[in-house]
Amino acid sequence: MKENKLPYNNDPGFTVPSNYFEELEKDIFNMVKNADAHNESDKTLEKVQGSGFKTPDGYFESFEVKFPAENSQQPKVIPLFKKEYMLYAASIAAIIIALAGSLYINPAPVDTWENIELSVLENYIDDNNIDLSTTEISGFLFNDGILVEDSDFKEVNSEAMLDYLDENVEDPAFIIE
Amino acid sequence: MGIQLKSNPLGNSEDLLIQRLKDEVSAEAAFKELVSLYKERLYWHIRNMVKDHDDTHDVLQNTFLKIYRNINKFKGESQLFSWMYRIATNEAITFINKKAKRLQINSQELQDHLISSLESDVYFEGDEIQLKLQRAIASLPAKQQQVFNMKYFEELKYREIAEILETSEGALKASYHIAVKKIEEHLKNN
Repeated sequence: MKENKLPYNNDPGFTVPSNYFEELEKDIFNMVKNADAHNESDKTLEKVQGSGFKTPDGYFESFEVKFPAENSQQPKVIPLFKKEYMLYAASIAAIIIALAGSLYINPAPVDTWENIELSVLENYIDDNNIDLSTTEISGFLFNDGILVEDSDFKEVNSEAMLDYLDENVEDPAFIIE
Repeated sequence: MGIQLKSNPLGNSEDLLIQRLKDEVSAEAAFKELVSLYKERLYWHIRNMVKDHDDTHDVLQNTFLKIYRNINKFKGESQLFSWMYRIATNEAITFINKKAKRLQINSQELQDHLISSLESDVYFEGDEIQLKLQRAIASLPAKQQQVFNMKYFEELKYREIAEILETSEGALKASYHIAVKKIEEHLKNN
């Protein structure tokens, strides 16, 4: 009878780490030990029967929901200040305060001659931004930094004015006029 | 805590009770029935959260008042019991937050305060290990406390807890598992 022999030897070629089987025993032992400890802690929790809370005697038998007194008959109270009126009054007051505030807190700047810096005005004229004839210019004079007009000269003595021009103005054209 | 209470004792008759609650003629009698059926369940649900009996009584009163006043707003999208549990949970959380604010302490300090008060509470008859367990629960985050109490003490099903807390069963299982591990750790170390 032909021997039924497999065409390869018995060694499958697998290997294990050194000391594997020695360590395996320890690992299994530790695993079982931990499982025991785990079961023990489970038992610790299982030992606790209930939360320990209790209620006064007959609490549930006598328990009833107490509704607030709002359901009982009470005299109707008419409010002195109705909510709607208060809202209207508050709205009007708010608008007035807002308007007054905007006027008094941030007044709009008013342009006056006093607010204009003199040097800025002079530069503006020097840069020929105003197309005025010499006659027109003579209508405006500056005296110690204050703008004066023709009308300011009505009461000025004409002789005194001629003396002033004679001494201070070099351009004879002004004197002739 | 006494005998195990079914979370939903009404079963199929729930729809009928809701109809009666919404009908002005039968509302009062139906509400009495509802209170009778759920007072103990909701009491223990609240008690596990707020710990003190008198506080629990106040929260339970408010819970039933809200149920009565809002029953017409109940659309039936969830079961009545889970809707009521949800109101009770919200009322208890609101109460706890207000208490912490009144005592000017944070939520963890309040948990410590509640547990310390248990030792002198005439309505707490727990032994040393039950007090330890309460301390361990108090050390958990709020959500894990809720899940642990509902599963361990109230013995609600994951499906029911999921409906009450509007979360997935998977998340609840994970939460409960973590809570149990932490409590075991706490019990072993203390």
